[in-house]
Amino acid sequence: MEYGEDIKSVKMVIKMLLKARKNLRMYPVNNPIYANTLNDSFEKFKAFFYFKDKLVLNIRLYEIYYGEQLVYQNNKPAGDNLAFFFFKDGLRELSFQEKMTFEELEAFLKVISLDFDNEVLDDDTVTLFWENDFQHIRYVVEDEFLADEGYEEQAVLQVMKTQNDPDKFKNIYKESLVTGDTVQKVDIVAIADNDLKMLFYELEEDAKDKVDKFMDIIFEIFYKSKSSEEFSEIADFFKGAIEYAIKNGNIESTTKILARLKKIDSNDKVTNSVKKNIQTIFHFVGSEHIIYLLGEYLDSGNKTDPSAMKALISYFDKNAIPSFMNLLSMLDSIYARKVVIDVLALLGPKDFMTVTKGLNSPEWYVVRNIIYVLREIGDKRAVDYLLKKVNHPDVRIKIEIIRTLGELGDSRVLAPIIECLEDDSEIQLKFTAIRALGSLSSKDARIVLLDKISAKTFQNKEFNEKKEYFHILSRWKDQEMIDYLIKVLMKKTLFSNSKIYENRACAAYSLGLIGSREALPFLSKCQRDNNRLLNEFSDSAIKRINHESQKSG
Amino acid sequence: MKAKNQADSPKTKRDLINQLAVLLRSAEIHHVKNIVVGKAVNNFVFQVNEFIKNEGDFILELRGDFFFVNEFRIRYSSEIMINFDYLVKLFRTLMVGTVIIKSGAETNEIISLTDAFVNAPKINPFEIISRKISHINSIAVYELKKIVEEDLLDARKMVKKSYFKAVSFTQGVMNRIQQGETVALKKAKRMIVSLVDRIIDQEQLLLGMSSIKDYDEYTYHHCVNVSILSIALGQRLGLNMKQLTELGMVSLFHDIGKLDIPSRILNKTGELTEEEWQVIQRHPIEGVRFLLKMKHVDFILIRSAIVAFEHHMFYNHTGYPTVKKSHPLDLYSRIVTLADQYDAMTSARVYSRIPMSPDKALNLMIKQSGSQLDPLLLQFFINMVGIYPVGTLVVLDSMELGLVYESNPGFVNRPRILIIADGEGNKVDAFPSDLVDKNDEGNYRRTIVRTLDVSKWDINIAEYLV
Repeated sequence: MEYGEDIKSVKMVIKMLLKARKNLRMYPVNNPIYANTLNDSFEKFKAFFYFKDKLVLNIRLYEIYYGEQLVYQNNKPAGDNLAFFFFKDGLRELSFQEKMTFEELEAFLKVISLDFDNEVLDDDTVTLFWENDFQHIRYVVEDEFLADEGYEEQAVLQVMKTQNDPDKFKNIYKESLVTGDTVQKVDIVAIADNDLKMLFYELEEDAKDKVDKFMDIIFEIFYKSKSSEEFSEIADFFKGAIEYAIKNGNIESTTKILARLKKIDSNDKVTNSVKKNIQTIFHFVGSEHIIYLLGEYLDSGNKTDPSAMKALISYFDKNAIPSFMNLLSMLDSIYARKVVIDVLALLGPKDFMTVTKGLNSPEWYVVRNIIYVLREIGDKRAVDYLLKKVNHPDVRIKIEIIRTLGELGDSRVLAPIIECLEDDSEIQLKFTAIRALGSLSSKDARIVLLDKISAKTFQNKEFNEKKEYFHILSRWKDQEMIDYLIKVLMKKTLFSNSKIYENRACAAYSLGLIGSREALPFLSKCQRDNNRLLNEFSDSAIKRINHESQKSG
Repeated sequence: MKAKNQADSPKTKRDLINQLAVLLRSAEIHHVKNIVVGKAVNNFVFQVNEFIKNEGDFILELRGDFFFVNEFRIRYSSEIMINFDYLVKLFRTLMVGTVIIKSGAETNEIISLTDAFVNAPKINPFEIISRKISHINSIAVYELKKIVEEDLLDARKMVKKSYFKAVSFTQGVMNRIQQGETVALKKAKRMIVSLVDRIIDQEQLLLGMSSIKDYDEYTYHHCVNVSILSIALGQRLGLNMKQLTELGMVSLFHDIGKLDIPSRILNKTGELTEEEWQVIQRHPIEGVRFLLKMKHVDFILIRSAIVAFEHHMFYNHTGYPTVKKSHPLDLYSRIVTLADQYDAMTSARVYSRIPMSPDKALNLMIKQSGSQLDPLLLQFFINMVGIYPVGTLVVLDSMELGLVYESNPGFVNRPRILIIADGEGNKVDAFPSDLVDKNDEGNYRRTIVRTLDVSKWDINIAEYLV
């Protein structure tokens, strides 16, 4: 080993620890940088263990020493000062042994990356190191800050003030010979395997959530309370418990409390003072604070049971809508956004107008989400608001509007939809417009579709677009439509025009979707046609019609 | 390199101890050539050789009450409890301190070791075992070493410091809470961590400290004592470090509701009126109130509130406070109830000036098993404190007077004692005696014949235990 190589290696380790603290705070666990930081840190330690089997760091207020060698110095008493960070919690020595596992180092780095200054934690580095029960990371701690030196001396003096008089023992000796207690018969049953099984069961049970029990205790205290001050205090306890439950995604427990409180609230014998306090709890549940906590929980990758969420939302009032709408622009995960959208669809009918305000959001994705919510709510009043936005420059929003107009709309929406049918710049928009006409299901919409198909220009459209038109036509299953489609199917041409064959194939497709048995002879004929496209589409349609008839018996 | 080194894990070491115990226990029942023993031998040989591949030699050493495998202390837990106790008892009886198994140990060599252990004579067992296996190169045994008195003294000093630090800290915290000040629970947690650490290392010495009841500030000592007893019991039940810390915290605050009880009631020497008794009975509810006002709701607070509320509710759902909807009691509540009752019974409190001797208290608790107290937990508790808990004054068959200062794992009725008076009643400089020790004829040197009531005879046990 060259002189000082181990020191260089220690400095690399320290540098890596500082980097790891930053990266682990900044990046989520699934980010590659996070994983790389852990790997790099482990490699740095391994590099050191090439020289020595143990790395001992001595911590001073502003310095870290490796033996006599200063390996880190920073004179600022701030959290990013590694020496100060360890020293302030009483750590005086840290040692890493060669057998330290990757998992141990990861746990160690996670602890030192916590933001102790800004997070509400009852822990410091020492208690968290302790809880991790490291096998190959040791530390020396000074916890003199807990001590009151004078206390020990005083207490010892007090209990030692009466020394046992030797005569006392003589007396005991004499008297105990005749009066002493005999040995107590204690039936000790040795602990057996069955006891251990019971114990394991107990420990398993103990690992279950405690929130419900905690809530029950608050209810018990509530039942025993009498004054309005007590009720007000207990309402605060409930709020604290709800806050904790939401933070931990315990939706079921929160709903249970709210159901019980609702029941109490609906009891005529309950005083106004109690009812008033219960109302404050419901108000709290629907507050921005709680909704944002719920958002944080959802955004951290946790899943919730949709039915539990639905049950919880039933206790929210219209005041919760703006906070949920704000969440849409705050959340990162698709899952969390989906949950919030579903929540808004449930809450929206309580204050439809507020939901429509979301259409003015500067973020395109929020607008799109709100349009989705409006569609889910299904209130026809949304059409007016959507028509105002139909020329939105963002095509993603335009698509969502056209789709929703199709589902909610009336004759007023036809014009903007037709306009989109002509828009060649965005194929998705065109497709959405075709489907929107189908969703409208109106006579006018049908006419528009048939007119489009009859137009000369239709022949030259892309096959997929044609197919979409015929797909939508299959929504109308009346005789007139069947006749029309058979007519298109059997249309003869003097020349072998491939574009006409495309139309015929699409008509076969549509007849298959309708399930028209009367079309079977025509389709069979086309099945034998030399044109491959018509032949294949007719074949598929026949199979589909037969399959559907078999299913329906 | 990311994979965990299996041999180095504490579980592998515990499993090896377990397997060795299984082997020796089966050999006590069957002949060493029996198929059952053969299977146990094969398992052990396989496991130990796997271990040796990664770790070098397998060195199993009994130091005090703990096993060390390759200098790594094996923590006491319910998983290995039965076999652990068995092995401690066996090593002590045979006077074996260390067993070393080196690379290449073969099945027949392990059979020889097993045979030497289970067929060792009562007299000079170690010598005979040593002689029997002297021809085996891959196995060595060494005699059990007595703990050096100076080491014990150092340990005592440390334990004393930790104990008083905990009491003084608790007093400070409780005073601040009472005055409505904000309390940093980080420090309380640090104190508990330090206490748990000490309990893991020196459980019996700390139990000894908790057995002294003559302090002025009963309340604070009681909080710390309950915490010590709860953590020690939790350790026996196999709780992990995090759980032990939680248990330590919740037990420390179990009586926080008493802070609001007027001192005229709390310190009343006469009978309490019905009204006063009702105030006392409200302290579990007040405890929840204090806790919930003290800090934001988190897991520790929830557990603390549950224990504060339930620690006077009994196993059979009697006790107080009465509730509308009854639930099974929380595990921590049942642990704290045991610790609380034991410490309260053995202390001189305002309303009960004469404390019960530890063994009598234990007897009363046994009577309450299944009604007031959880029978399973009580069983573990007795296993921990022994039939003669620390602080019990005993008369020996030698007519010497002794004071129990440590229980003895595996020997519930043979604790370690301090001889404080000779066979004629003369006070002597206290010296330790392990009641497991035998004379040259293989008989126990000393045996307890009766117990005495410390308070009745006004013996200040602090003279010996502090």
